[in-house]
Amino acid sequence: MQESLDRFGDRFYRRVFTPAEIAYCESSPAERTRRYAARYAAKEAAWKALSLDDTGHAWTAIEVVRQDHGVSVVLHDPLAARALARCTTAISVSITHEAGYAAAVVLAHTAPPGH
Amino acid sequence: MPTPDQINADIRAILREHARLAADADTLTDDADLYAAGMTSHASVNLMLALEDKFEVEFPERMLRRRAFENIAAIREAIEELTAGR
Repeated sequence: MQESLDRFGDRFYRRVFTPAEIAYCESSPAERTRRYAARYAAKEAAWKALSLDDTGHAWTAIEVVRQDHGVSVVLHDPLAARALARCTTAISVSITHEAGYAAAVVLAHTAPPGH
Repeated sequence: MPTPDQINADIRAILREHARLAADADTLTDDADLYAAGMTSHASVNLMLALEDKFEVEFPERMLRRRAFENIAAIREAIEELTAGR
């Protein structure tokens, strides 16, 4: 992640993270790379959980939002509409980061069509 | 307008630098699956940004999908589409 941030700088931030995500990650110089890495992991996990490999969308359409206890994933249109069309009712996410690695687990909850 | 061979050569050079493939990019066929060759999703973002630098293009949202970067032929098609008319 640090390599990407160094190599592509602002363009990498702008294409992958929302302004709120950038503000949070940049608020701690010591933690910034880990925070970016964890958010990237969550976005990739969400992309896969939502089975959206066949549709193009911006990375910023998946946003990791801080909550009092942990984080949540918020989808922005048109991705949110696509997820809804696939009967996605909720998304659960867990992220972790330590020196040298970051990981995320995302569950996409779905309802049977017509419910 | 670069020829398809020139575009392929540039793509392979960028793959060598950014895709972190298990195999040498020069040994891959144009339709070889880059993800199967070891390219991660994160590496594909680096690849996309490096392609944008090289070809002075910007990939639109509709192209930001796995299939657009899955092999050299698909990448070349995208580059040709984005540079058409120059």
